[in-house]
Amino acid sequence: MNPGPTAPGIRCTALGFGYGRRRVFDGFSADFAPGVTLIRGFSGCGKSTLLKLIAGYLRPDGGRILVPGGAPTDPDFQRRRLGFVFQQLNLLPLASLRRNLTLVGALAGLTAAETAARLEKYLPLLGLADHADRRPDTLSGGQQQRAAIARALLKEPSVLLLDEPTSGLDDLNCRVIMKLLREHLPPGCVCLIATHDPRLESLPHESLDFNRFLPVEGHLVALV
Amino acid sequence: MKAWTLTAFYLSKDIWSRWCETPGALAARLLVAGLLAGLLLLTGALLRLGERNLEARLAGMGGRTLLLNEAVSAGTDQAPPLGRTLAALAANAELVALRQLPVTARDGAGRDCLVLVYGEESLPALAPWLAVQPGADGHLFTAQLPAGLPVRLEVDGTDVAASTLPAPEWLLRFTGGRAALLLPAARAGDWLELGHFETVQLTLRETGGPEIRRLAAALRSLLFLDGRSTAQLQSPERLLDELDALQLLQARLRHGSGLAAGLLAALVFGSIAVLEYRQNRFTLALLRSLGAPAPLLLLRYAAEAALIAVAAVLLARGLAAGLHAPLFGQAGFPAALLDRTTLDPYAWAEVWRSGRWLLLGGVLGVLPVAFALRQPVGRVLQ
Repeated sequence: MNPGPTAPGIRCTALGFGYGRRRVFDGFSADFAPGVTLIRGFSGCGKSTLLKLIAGYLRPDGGRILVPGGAPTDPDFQRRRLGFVFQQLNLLPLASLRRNLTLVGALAGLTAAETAARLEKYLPLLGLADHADRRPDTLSGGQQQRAAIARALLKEPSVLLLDEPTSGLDDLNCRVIMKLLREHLPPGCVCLIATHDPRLESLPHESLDFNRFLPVEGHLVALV
Repeated sequence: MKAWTLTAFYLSKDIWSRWCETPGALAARLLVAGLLAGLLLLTGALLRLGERNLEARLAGMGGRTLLLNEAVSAGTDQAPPLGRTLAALAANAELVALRQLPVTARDGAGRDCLVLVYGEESLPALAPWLAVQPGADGHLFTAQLPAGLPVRLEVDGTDVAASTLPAPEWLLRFTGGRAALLLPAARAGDWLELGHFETVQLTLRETGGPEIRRLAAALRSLLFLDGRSTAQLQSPERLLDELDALQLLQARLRHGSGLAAGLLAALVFGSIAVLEYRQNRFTLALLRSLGAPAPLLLLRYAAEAALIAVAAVLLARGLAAGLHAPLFGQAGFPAALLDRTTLDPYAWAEVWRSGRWLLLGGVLGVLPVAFALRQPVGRVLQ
């Protein structure tokens, strides 16, 4: 879990961030190598915030983050190299699943043929082949979550960030997602999963456990 | 390019969906912008009609014409006729100088008419009227006899032969509608020694207030320097001043009312855009997280505002055009002035002049959305 400076991993150095006066990170450093890393911790410890900082969706007020290809806030990184699955509201409500994915493919710079080929690959894997022309509001919660993962994987990203991807999903849906992550994660992809779900433990993974830290005056202090 | 097209297509669907979901928000903007546009158009039309009315009055009173009158008493040391003195101005203005004699001409039926004498300085202007029949001394301008008729008149005991002509409109300023015998100065003889009342008409070849004012100022100086204390100048300067004031008021009102309407439109459009943005912010944040450019998302609101503003202006144009004749007819404008084939206050150029403020206001109304779109995606999406 300690990539060198030139390795295609993620490096967070002396990261600082807070929501108003409430500090979430102060001097936080971590490296993430390619492969799956489960980020665990108590509610509000900053798991989702860390993912958003790495995605460039939030800006740290201290330190720096290096992602494959440069900085997280680089639009090109966000369009082409990053896949992000939120806890909810992942799909554009007025477009069919196929349109959702096609739009992401276009924004990622994929040709129509490339997008079509990847749709052919990922939709059946996630059990969504028969639902491609349905709108998100006609899909179940599990289908929507799988669709969000399909959308993230469509780019074959170098950084895949999943925020509680299996929360509220039944075992069947959870197994589909785990199988996909185990077998079809793009080579060299750094996959960070913020989760409470113990079912994901069976994935081969590294861990970052915020439970081993104690928040003291805004600083995370390692428990000895 | 394809990404932009697909995003724009999705955003256009979003606009349509919003309109279907909340038709009240669409109707409110259409109504407010339409009313404002209608008011702007009708105000503009009112000002145009007022301006045209004044222009018509100005034209009726000889908008390009300056009149000088000078009374010359008998037996005074006579200066050259005023017309001859002003002849040098003929390059800038058409000059007609007629001296009215203190005698009258009487025809065979006992009808009296004025006797007017012209000098060589008026020949260029009078030339089209002076085709004379052999043996005639002058012309009798009268509406009571057919044209081209040889008549004999008696002037101060002398027989004068004349040929009849219908009186042209410009002559009315000299005669006040009465019949007039026009004689060249060479035929007037000693009658000019009896004194006369000279009227000089200068009609500018170029239109425009500045030229008239320049010429009027020059004439006043000339009359003063020449010591012609009995000469009087009548110029349309006062009407021109009124017209200028009206045009200035028109420009100020146009800008003021346009600015006020634009601000109001910005407030209404902005408030609704912010409400809609709040309802839609998750979708927009999601699009941003996927890499859709923020300017394109802002463009969605600007395009929607522009679309509604344009539709409102078009509706208002139709409404204002329909109300034009009855509304302004009741306000007392003459029917001829309300004929939109001669004066159309709803021509596209006029509509653009009024509508651009609403368009600008509506589009500027999305500024709060621009600020909202600067919020990091991570603070919106969970």
